[in-house]
Amino acid sequence: MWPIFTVTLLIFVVFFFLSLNIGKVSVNFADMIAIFLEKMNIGQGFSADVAAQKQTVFWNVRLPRSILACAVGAALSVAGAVMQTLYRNPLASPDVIGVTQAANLGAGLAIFFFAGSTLLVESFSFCFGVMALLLTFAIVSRLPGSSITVLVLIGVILSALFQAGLTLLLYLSDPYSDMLRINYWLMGAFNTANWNNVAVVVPLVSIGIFFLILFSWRLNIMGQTDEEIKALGINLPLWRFIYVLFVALIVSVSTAAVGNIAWVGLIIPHIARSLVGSNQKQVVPYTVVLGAFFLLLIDTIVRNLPTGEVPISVITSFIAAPFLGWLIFSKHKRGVW
Amino acid sequence: MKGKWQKLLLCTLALVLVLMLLTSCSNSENNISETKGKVIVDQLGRTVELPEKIEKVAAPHIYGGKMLFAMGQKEKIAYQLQIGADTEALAKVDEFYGSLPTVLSAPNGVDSPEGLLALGVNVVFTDAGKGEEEAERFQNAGIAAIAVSGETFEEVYETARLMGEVFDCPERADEVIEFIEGLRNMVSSRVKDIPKEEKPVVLVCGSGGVYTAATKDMFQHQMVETAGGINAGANLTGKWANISAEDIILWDPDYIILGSSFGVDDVESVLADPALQTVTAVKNKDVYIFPSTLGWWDFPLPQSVLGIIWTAKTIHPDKFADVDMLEMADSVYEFIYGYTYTELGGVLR
Repeated sequence: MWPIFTVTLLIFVVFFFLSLNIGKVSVNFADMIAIFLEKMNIGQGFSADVAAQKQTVFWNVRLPRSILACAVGAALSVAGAVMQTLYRNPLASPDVIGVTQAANLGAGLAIFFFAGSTLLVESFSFCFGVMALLLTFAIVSRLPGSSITVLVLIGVILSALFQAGLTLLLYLSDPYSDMLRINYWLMGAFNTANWNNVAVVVPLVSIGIFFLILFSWRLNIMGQTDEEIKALGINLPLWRFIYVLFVALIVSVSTAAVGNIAWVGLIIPHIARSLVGSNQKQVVPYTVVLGAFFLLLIDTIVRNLPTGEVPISVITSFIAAPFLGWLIFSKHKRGVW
Repeated sequence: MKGKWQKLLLCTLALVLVLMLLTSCSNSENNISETKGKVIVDQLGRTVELPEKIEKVAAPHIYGGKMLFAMGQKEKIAYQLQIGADTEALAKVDEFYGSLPTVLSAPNGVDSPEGLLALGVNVVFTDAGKGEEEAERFQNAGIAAIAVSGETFEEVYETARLMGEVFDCPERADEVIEFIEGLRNMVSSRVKDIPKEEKPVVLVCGSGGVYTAATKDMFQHQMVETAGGINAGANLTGKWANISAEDIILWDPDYIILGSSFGVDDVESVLADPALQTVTAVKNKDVYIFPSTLGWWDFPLPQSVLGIIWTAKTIHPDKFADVDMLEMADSVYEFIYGYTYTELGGVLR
C-alpha cells in the first residue's frame, strides 16, 4: 500500500503547487515563493517586485480556493468511504443519512426568509446538517436493537422530507432573486472561496478526518454483520453513532461552505479500494489524499475554462459517472459484482 | 343487503359518469376558441388567431404585464404575476391593480389555463423565454397565447407594436417606442464621441453577488454599451455567468454595478473583499448599486431605460450633470404606469 500512497501523495503535492501556477493571471513560481515568504513573515520585502495584482491573485484567490478544494475533496471522499463500509453498501455516500439534503434545506431557508448573508447561509446549512444527524439517532434510539437497514430507511425518509422542503421553497421563491440564489448555491462552486471559509472548514474537517483515520482499524469490524460485531463485545450503536457523527460534521461543514458537490463521496472510495485493497486502515487515509487531489484537479479545470465557471458537479459527474460504469463492468467481468 | 350496496355503487358510478360528461361538455364549450379576429405573428414566430373581442388578458410573468401597463391596457388585465417592489407599489396606489388576484400558482408554479379561463381571460401574453410549449399550453385550452420577449430594446419595441396591433392602438405603440428611443438617443448622442479606448469597463453583477456577471446575451450588456461603457462580461454567453475573483482581476473593471434587487453583496462587502483589492473599481470606490427602491432598472422592462441613463450618468458624470435622476424617474414611471416614481413611494438611494 505504502508505495501507492507515497506516489499519490507526491503527485498530489506537486500538482498542488502546479495548480497554483495555472490560471488566467500569470503567477510564476518565483513570485509565488516570494509572496509566500513575505506573508509568512520570513522574508520581508521579498515580494516588493511582484505586482500587487499577482499577490492578490495568489494569496487571496488561488491559495484559499485550492486549500478549500482539497479539504472538501478529502472530507467528502473519506465520508463516502466510511459510509460505504458502515452501511455495507457500495452505493452508500454521505447523502444516505440525509445530511446533505438537510444542509441544502438550511441554506435555502436562510436565503428565502432572511435574504441571508453568506455567513448566515453557511451557518444555517451547517446547523441543519447536524440536526439531521441528531434526528436520525433520536429516532434510532427509540428502536433498540434495530439493524443498519433501519438506519438506511430513516435516512431515506429524512432525505425525502428535506428534499421536499427544498422543492417547496424553490416553488415559492421569487424566480428572479431567491430562486436563482438557491440554485447557484445548490450547484456548488469554489469561486467564492476565501480565507474565512478556510479558517472554518480546514480545522473542523481536519478534526473529523483525524478521528476517522484514528478509528479506521475498527471499520474493518464495523463492516461485518451486526451479529458478528456484537459477538466481539463491541457497543454497536455507540460506535455507529461516533462514525456517523464525524461523517456528518465534515459533510455539513463542507456542504455549508461550497454547496453541493456530486459523486466525489461515491467514486473516490471505489478508486481507492481498487488501488490499495479493502483494509480500512489503508483505504481511509488513502481516500483523504485521493479525494483532495481529485477535487483540486477538477477545480483547476473549472477555474481555467474560458466560458465562466461551470458548476463543479457537472465536471465531477462527467468524469465520475463513466468511471463508475467502467468499474462496474470490470468488476462484473472478474465476478466481483 | 349485498344487492342493495351493489345498486348504490352502481348509482354512484352512473352519477359520476354523468357529471364527468356534463363537465367535459362545458369544457369543450370553453375550448372553442373564437377565431374570428385578426391573425398576428408573435415574438416566437407563431401565428396566432385572436378572438373577435378581447375580453380579459393575462400575463403570467413580469415583463408582459408591465408592457400592458405601458400600452394603456391596464383595465383589461385579469391576472399578472405580481412580484417585485414596483408591482407591490402599484398595487398599493392603484385600486384596480390592487384588486387583481395576486397568485394563481406560486411564483414558480405552472399557471393553470383553467384558472385563467375562470377569470374570463381569452388572450394571454406568455414569456417567449419559456418557449412554444408554454404558449401552446394556453392555446390548447382555447386562450389565444401570444409569446413576448423584451431582452433588448428592439424586442421591447416589437412587443409594443404587437400589442398595438392586438389592442388596435398602434399610435400608443409609436408613442412608447418614441419615448424610450428618445431617451436612448439622448444618452447615445452624448457618449458617441468617446473613443473605444477611453470607454470604461463596467461589470454588472446579478443574483449570485459580485461573482456572477452579465453576459453578452443579456439586457445589461445593451445597457452598458448604450451608456458608453464596455461590458466586462462581453465574452461570456448565457445568463448570469458564474465568474471567479481571478476573472474580475483580469478584466479590471473601472466600475462595478450591483443589480438593484439582488441582495447577496452590497457595496461595502465588495469594497472589503480582500480578493478584489487590486481591481480599479474597488480601489477608486466605484462600486455602485442601482438606486431604485422600486425594483429593477437592470431588467428587461420598459422603465429600464432609466438603467441606461443612470449607468451613463454614473460612468460619465460630466456628460450628464444636467440630468436629475429623480425627475427623470418621475417622468418615465408616469409615462408607463400613470403614476410618478415619487407617487409610487420610490426614493433614490
